Amino acid sequence: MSSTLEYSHVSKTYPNGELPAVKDVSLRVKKGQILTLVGESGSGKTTLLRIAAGLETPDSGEVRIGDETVASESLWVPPEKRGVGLVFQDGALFPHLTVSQNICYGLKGRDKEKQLKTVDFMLAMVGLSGFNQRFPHELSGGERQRLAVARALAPQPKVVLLDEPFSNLDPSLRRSMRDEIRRILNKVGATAILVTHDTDDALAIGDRIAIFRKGEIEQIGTPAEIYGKPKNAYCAELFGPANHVVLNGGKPKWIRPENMTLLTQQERGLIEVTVEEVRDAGRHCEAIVRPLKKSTSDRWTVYCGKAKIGDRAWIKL
Amino acid sequence: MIAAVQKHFRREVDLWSASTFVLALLILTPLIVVVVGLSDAGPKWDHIASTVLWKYVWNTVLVVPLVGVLAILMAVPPAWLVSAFEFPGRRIFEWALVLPLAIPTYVAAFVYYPGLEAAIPFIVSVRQNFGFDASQVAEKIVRYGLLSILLASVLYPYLFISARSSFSQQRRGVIEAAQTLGRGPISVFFSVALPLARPALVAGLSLIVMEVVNDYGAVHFFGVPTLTEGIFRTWFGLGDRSSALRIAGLVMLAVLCLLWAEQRQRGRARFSEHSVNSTPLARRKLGTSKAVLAIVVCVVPLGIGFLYPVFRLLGWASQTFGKVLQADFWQQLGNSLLLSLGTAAGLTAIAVIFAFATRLHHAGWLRVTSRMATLGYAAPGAVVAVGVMVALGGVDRSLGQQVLSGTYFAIIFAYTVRFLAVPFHPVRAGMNRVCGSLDEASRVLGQSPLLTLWKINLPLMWTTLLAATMLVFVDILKELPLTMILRPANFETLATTAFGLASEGRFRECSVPSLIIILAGALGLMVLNRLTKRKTG
Repeated sequence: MSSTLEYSHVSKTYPNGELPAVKDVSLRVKKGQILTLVGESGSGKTTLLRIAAGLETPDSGEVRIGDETVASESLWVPPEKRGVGLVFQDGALFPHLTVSQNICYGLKGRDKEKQLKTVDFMLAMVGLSGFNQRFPHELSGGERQRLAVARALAPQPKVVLLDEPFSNLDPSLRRSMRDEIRRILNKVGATAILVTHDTDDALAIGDRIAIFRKGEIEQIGTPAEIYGKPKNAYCAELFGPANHVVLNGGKPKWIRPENMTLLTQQERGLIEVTVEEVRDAGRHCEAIVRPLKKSTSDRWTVYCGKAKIGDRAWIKL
Repeated sequence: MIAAVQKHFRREVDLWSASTFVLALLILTPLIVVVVGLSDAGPKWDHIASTVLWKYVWNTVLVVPLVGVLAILMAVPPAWLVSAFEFPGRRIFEWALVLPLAIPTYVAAFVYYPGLEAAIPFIVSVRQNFGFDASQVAEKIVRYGLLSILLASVLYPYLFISARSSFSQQRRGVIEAAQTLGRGPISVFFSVALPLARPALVAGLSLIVMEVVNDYGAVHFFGVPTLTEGIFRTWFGLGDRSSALRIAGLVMLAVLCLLWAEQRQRGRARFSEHSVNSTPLARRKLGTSKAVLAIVVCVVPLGIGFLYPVFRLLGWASQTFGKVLQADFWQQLGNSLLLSLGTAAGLTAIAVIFAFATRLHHAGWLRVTSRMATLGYAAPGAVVAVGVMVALGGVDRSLGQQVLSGTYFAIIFAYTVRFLAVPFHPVRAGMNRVCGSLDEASRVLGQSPLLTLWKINLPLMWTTLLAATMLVFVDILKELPLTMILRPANFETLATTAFGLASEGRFRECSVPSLIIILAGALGLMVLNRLTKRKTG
């Protein structure tokens, strides 16, 4: 059943690539935990997954699944012997096999009756009961993606890896699939890494989130930490608008607009600003304000009830 | 360092990569032998170099550009017409203009050979009016001219195919921009369409050049000894193996230079030709008189390269088929088909191993070796044959007895060297297109590489495999120079039968085997057409 997954000092450079795709990455996913790996395309996150699956070999470093080392300087376990489930971006369903045969594909060596039981169990879990004899092309996009998840989970892998599983789905389907996959992964208690470039996916699914950039981990933490306490400008802006705040020469911080309140009356400890722009953005009214004290730097975006251009106002953090 | 090598060794060397590497090396050996043979001059080399060598070189250098220019004239205007204009019969011409490819050069030579006799009265009259020297020149012009026309008329489709696909992929916007800037259709063609198509045209032309250098039958008939014929004459006429090998080495070097130049210009051109998401050219309808002209431009190459030869052969065949279709003909046909089909299936299997190994290991060295192993396609058949003979002769000498030379193994091995590229490219492309990440999914789900190939890759791409086998089957069936040199004693293929009959002047009788080869060739073209359609559509 599920195990921990651990990378230590893993690096990988492609033969024709100038920069390393993965650079000295150390990362540990605890048993039963879901880690989302978020970053721009080309940041090396898919490579990191493929290294765990055994589809790429690391140049250096080690990968351990549970107690077993599956890749190191002296050792490399081929993908078929790793006990890893991988959900491909495009599903990678076998077009010449039925739904049932696709799920059985990873169950070789077990007796037929058990296989069929597993198929029915998995199909029920992903909401595809009765689809056994269909072919992949007879399924909708969402159904195909759920089948891909079922196929990957059927052999009860130690670790499940999901590579951008929602990227081919339309936005409304995406949201419901997100919840469903989280429910399924939690139900089987899988240790999982999910790769995505969508920050909403990352926040909604991950127990922990790792921000990946140019082959390195920028920040790793719980969704609340990642969203509320970004480590730097890159991590902050990846998840939406954030205001750069430097108070009294202290360390710079990034504060989300919803964590700032615009007041029209002065109190102790508030920061004085002038309102420079006001815009009704539908969901909320946005104001761009400029702190009077220069050391606090920049312009900030805040949400406000009533403010007029040119007003003097105060910000509560 | 050693640790790094060991690490790669462990991960990248398995049954697949090792067998690919060993096979590729074996297949490359004859070509290496040929290039190494350059350094070794035979006993008659000085004699050859001071007498006939320059004639061989001169003939080759003369015929190649003649055929090239004629092929451009036959291929490019129709390609532009069927891509940019609408006129009656356009859709038929679009594919029919490819048909001459089904006719081997030597068959075209049988058909047009009587044309030389028809020119005799003209040469006689030149002699009477301008003297002996002038008639000699006139005779040469007729011979070289007719040879070039017939070669161009069956080889131009290489250029037509690449020009047509380039013209039809050109972005409509670019052409329309030129039109709105005040250029007429002819000016647009020369200022925009033709320069944009240049890389494709060069690619098509270099295939034609290779085929001309490869040709043995036609130049033999027309008495224009090129380097390929030089190899034959030096080895079998003069009995000088080393010098023949040296000529082969020279040809190989020239072909490699051509390949390199072609790759270079294509590499740079990739940036200028973005054909993705392009709207195809809107075809302009031609008025009656212009449409008639367009039809004429399309009918002429088709007539010279396909219609006339086929009708002529059919006419001959109707008179002689009873005489030809005897028991030993059927046996020859059976032999020929069996050898071609068996070898074709084997080559496709090797192509599958190569393609699968490069998918299993994303290793640069595997990609390079498998590509090198397909270089033989650029080498003329006679060059490959010489390389194989010398290489196998070396093995036999070291064994102390004749084991390999003159056997079926020798000829099958030579076909492998020469034709592996034919199934390799479609199989590799097909595997990458059809299988995507499916074989990786299979591995992750616990299947070994062999079972993955068996359960996933092969069932998904069997139509591609069939098509690839068919293509290489046709190529082997009509191959002449290599087969002439390497065939075992008393073994005839359709190609050697046809050539043998024609050499004895029995043109009418050689029509039957020729027609069978053409029929197979036309089938091959249909397969090719379907393959390329699937790739673009």
